Amino acid sequence: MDSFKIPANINKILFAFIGIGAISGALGFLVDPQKAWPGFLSFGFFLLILSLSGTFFAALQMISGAKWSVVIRRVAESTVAALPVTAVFIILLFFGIHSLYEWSHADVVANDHILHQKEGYLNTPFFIARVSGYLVLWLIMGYLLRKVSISQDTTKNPETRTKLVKISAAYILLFAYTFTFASIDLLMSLQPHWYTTMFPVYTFAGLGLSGIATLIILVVTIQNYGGLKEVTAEHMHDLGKFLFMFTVFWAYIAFSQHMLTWYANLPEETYFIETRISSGFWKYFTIVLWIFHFLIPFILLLSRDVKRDGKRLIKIAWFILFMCFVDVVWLVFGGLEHDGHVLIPLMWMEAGLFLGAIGIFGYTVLQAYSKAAQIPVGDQNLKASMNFHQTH
Amino acid sequence: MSLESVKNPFHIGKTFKQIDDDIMRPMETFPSKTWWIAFLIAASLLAMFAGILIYSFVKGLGIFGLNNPVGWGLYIVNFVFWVGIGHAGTLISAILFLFRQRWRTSINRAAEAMTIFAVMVAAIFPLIHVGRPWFVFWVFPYPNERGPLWVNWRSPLLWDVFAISTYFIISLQFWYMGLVPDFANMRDRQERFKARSKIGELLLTVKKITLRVISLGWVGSAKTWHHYEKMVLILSALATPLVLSVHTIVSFDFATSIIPGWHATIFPPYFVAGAIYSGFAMVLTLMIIMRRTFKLEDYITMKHLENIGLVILVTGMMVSYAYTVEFVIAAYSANKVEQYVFMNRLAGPYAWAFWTMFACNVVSPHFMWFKKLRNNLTVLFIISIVVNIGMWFERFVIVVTSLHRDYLPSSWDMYVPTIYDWGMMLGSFGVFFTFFLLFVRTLPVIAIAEVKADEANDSLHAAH
Repeated sequence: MDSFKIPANINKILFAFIGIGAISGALGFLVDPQKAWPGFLSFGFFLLILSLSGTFFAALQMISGAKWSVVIRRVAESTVAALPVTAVFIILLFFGIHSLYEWSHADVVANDHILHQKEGYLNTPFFIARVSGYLVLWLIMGYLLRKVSISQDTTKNPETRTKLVKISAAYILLFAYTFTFASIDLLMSLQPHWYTTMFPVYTFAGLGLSGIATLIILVVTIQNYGGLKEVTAEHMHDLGKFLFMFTVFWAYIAFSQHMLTWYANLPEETYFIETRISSGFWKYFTIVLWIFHFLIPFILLLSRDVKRDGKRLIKIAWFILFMCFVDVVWLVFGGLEHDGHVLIPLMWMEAGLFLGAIGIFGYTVLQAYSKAAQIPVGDQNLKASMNFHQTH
Repeated sequence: MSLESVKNPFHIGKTFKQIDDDIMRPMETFPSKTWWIAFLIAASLLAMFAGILIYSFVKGLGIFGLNNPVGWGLYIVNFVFWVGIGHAGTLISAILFLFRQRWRTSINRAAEAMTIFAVMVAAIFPLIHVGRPWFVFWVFPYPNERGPLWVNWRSPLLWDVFAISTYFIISLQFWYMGLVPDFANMRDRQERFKARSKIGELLLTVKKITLRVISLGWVGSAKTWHHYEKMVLILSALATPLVLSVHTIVSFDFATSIIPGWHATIFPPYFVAGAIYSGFAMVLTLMIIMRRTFKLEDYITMKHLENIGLVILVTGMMVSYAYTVEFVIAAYSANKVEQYVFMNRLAGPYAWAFWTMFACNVVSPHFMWFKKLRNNLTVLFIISIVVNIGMWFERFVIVVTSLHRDYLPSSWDMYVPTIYDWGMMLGSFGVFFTFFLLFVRTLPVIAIAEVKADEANDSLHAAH
C-alpha cells in the first residue's frame, strides 16, 4: 500500500493560510491587544478541539467494534499530529492569562467575595499546571494510539486490535474528565462567577461536530488528490449521518442549557445568555449562530443524496467547521467586558486566525498522514470495511 | 460454503420450522407451574396496588408520607423510575436498528413489550398525584366550556403529558407493526389446532378471526416486505428523537425549577443516560429469566447478554460522569446553597440512600470490564438487579434530599415513606409483571420474522 503523496499546491495553499493567520494575529496584537488575546484564545481552543477530535473518533470506533470505519481510521488517528503545535499555542496563551482571566488579578480577587472563595482553584500556577497536565496526557495517549495502530501495518497481528480497544477505552474515560476540566479552565472561567453543569457537554458537542466535519474535509481532499480510493459513497453516507447526528446533538445540548438557564432565571446563571442576547451586536451574532450552526446544516443534511456525495458533503462540512469556530468565538468573547463596554471581536483577525488554524492543522496532519500507510492494512476488519454497504 | 462456516456470532442455524416451534411453544402449551406461581404473586401485588389506590381515594393523600417541604415523594420517584425503564425497548428497536446492531433482533420484541408496560405503570403515578384523577382529561388542551380554564403551556409537567403520550403511541405502533408478520404466522398456524369441545371451538374461531384482523392481510410477498422495511426505517428515524425526548422532558420537571439539587442544566442528557442504564438492566433481568424458562438459549445467547452488559458499563460511566460534574460544579460555584445540597447528600440524614446509589450505580458496572464476568450468568443477573436498585435510589436522592431541607430551617422535615408508599412501589412491580407474564403467554417473545430474515441473509451471504 502506497502512502499518500502531498501535492505541492496543497502545501502552497496551507502555507498561505498559515501566513495569513500569522499576519492577522500579529496585526491584531499591534492594533488592539485587549481584543487580540481573546481572539488568540478562540484560535487556540479551536485548534485544540480539532486535534483531539480525531483520536476521540478513532477510539470511539475501536471500542464499539465498528467495521465500516476502518478505512478512514488512519486519517482520524493522524489528527493528533496537530496537537504538539497546539500545545505550543496554548502555552503561549499562558502569557495572556492576565489579560484574559479576571481571577488572575490579585486586586480584583481581594475585593470579590466569590473569586476569593474560588482562589484555591482559580489561580495562575495551578491553572498552568492543570492545563499542562491535560496536554501531556492527551499527547501521550494520542500518540500511543497512533503508534500501536501503525505497528499493526507490518506485524498484521490480530491481537493488536485487542490492545487498541484497551487503549481506546482508557483514552475515552480520561478524555471525558480532562476535557471537562479543560473547558471549565479555559472557557468557563472567563466569566469566573458563572457556572453551569451542561457547559462541558456543550464544548464536547462542538468538538464532536467539528471533528466529523474535519474528517470529511480531510477524506474528500485526500481523495481529490488520488488517495484513499477505498472510501466509497457508502462510507461518506455514514460520515454524513454522523455529521447530522452531531448537528442535532449540539442543538439539543445548546437548547437544554439555554432554555433551562432562561426558565430558572437565576441571576448568577442567566447573565451568560443575557450578555449574549440583549445587546445589539451580540444579539445578532447569537441569532446568526443558532441559524447557521443548526438550522441550515440540519435541513441540508436531511438529504440522502447529499450525504452520499463527497463533493457536496465537503461544502457543508466546511460551512459547519467555520460555524464551530464562530461558536468558540461566541463562547470566548460573548461575556467579556472592557471598561464597562462589551467587547466586540476584531472580525478580520478572527477570520485570519481561522485560516491560520486550518493551515497549521492541515499541514501537520497531512505530513503525519503521508508517513504511514493510508489505511490500516494490517487490520483484520479492513476487508469488511472495504466491502461495506449500507443495509438500509 | 456451508452454513456452519458463517462466522456471524448471532447465526442460529436452525430451520424455519424449528424457529417457529421454539418461539411459539410457550403460547401453544398449557402454562407451567412456575408461570402460575409467578402470575399469582404478580396478580396479588396488582390487587394490593388497586386496594391501596382505592383506600387513598377514600381516605385521601394523607395516608402517604408526603409533607410540606417534601411534596414529591415516592410517587414521583416511582414515576421517573418506570419511565426510565421504558427507555430501553424503543432504543433497542429504533436506535440500535439505525446503528445496524444485529443482535437487537432477538431481544427487541420483549424489550418493546417491557417499554409499553413500564410506561403504562409510570403513567399511573402522576395520575393519582394530581389529586383528582377523574379530572385528568383537563391536561389535554381542547375547546371546552370551563371558561378561561386552559392548560399551562409553561409547565414542564404539561410537556410531560405530550412527551410521554407521544412516546407511548409511537412505541405501541412500533411494537404492533413488528408483530404483524408474526400475527400472520400465527394465523397460518391455527389450521393445526382442533377443538375438543363446543366452547373450545368457539374460542378457536374467535382467535382465528382476531388474528386474521390484526395481521392486516399480510401475505409476505416481496412487495409487502419492501414496504415493511421502508416503514421500519422511517419509524426508527422518527422514534429516535422521541426516545431521547421523553427523559429530557422528565428531567425538565426538575431542572426548570430553582431548587438547588434540581436545577442543573446537565439534567437532560444525564437523565437520558440514566434511563438507558436502568432500562438495559431491566432488559437483562427479564432476558436471563426468559431464556431460561422458555429454553431460548439458542436465540438469546451469551453474546447478547454480554453486549447488554457492555451497554450497562458505558451508560453507567456516563451516569457517574454526570454525578461527578454536578459535584465539581457545585464545588466550583462558590454558591453556599448549591454546595450545601451536595454535602447534605454525602453526609446528611439521607446519606445512606446516596451511598446505596453510589455503590450500585457507580461501582457495580465496573465489573463489566471483565469478559469473564460478562459471560457469567449469575454475575450478570446480580448486576442487573443491583443497577435497578441503584437507579431507583438515584431518583429517591434527587427528589427527597433536594426537598427535605427547605431554605428556612424551620421548614425542614424528614420524609418517611409510609407502608402505603412502599405498598404502591411494590404493587407497581405487580402491575408490570402481570402484564409481562400475560404477554409471554400470548405473543411471540422474539420477533420470529426478523430472526428468519437475518437467518436467510446469512445463508445468502454464505452462498457467495
